[in-house]
Amino acid sequence: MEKWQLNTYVRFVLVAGMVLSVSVMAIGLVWYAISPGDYPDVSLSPADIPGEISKGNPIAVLDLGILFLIATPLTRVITALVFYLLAKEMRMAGVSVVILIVIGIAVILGAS
Amino acid sequence: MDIVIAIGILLFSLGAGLLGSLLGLGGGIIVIPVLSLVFGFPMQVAIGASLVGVIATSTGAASYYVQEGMSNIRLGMVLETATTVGSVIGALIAVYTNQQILAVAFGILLLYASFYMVRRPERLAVPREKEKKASFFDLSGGYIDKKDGSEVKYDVEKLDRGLGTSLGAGALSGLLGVGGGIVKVPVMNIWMGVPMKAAAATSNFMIGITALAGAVIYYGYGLISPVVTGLVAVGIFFGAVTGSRIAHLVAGTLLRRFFAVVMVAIAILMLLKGAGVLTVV
Repeated sequence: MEKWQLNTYVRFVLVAGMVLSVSVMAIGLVWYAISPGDYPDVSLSPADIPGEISKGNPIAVLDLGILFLIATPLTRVITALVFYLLAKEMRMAGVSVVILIVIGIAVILGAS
Repeated sequence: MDIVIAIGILLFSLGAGLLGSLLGLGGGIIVIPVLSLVFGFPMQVAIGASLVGVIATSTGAASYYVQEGMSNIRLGMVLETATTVGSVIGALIAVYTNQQILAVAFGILLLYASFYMVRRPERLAVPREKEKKASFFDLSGGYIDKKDGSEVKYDVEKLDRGLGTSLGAGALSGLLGVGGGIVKVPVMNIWMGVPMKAAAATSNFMIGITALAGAVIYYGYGLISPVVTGLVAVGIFFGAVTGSRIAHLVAGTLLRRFFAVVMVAIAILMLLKGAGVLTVV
């Protein structure tokens, strides 16, 4: 596998994540502006987001957009990990795993 | 939230993204003092919103630089092992720190950024023998310079220094909600021998995952306000996209000098806020 192939995959992940997250956040903002209810500007638990969206809560839509955005660079690292494993570049695969472990620790610390 | 305040935040964020793009800075360094000084949000909420905004702008810019082959993905990922650790540490410090102390720290950062923006030292990359530690990961890179069509190749040196500084840049990102490019870019260029364009593109590539590590902590601690963050992220993103399209029409040096003076003024306001003299402007 060539170096440029990784660039192509990474670019695809970044563009897709960017378009998806900014679109969802923009929809959430418009929804919030036209919504008659008074919703507190406080993040919801990720587990509550689908249920709150079905109830028409615009904060849940905004939270979903934020989570999509946060997930974009993470997906980029996972993409690189798969690429390096397939290319048998174990040193760079190890680097990718270290980054994912640090993010995992951050998630645990944030959740706790 | 009042619709006038929401529109105000959106417009300021658009301006921050636009100016940040023209000045070569992330929008965070502009949007944080505005959220804190003009709209009166707590520093931690402003930093949390900025971190998500920083992910948005860096993701947009990085996709372009990656396509052009300007970002050195391998070097970026090796340095990310340090920036993410730093970002988590910085964010954990920030969530437990008095916001007046954060305001003082941000004021000092602004003073440094204004100095950096005017001075902008650059070292030209010259071919050298590969360093062992950098060779271990094969971090050498290259790109086509669009200016004259020439191929620029470079090797990376002093990886240990780069990792150490990346830890500090990551901590700065998690602590104060900025991308940390004002630290990483000169270090990559001056110490590690990476050409300026590749250093800036690689720094941009790294910022997303660095900010993510800090943003996750802020999210977990309930310091991400969805509406404020959504306004900032969407505003900064579209501002940065516009800025990148009109950058060639603007006299960069003059704008940088003018804005350096504005940043010194904002830094003084932040220091006054930190000293408890000022609440909101």
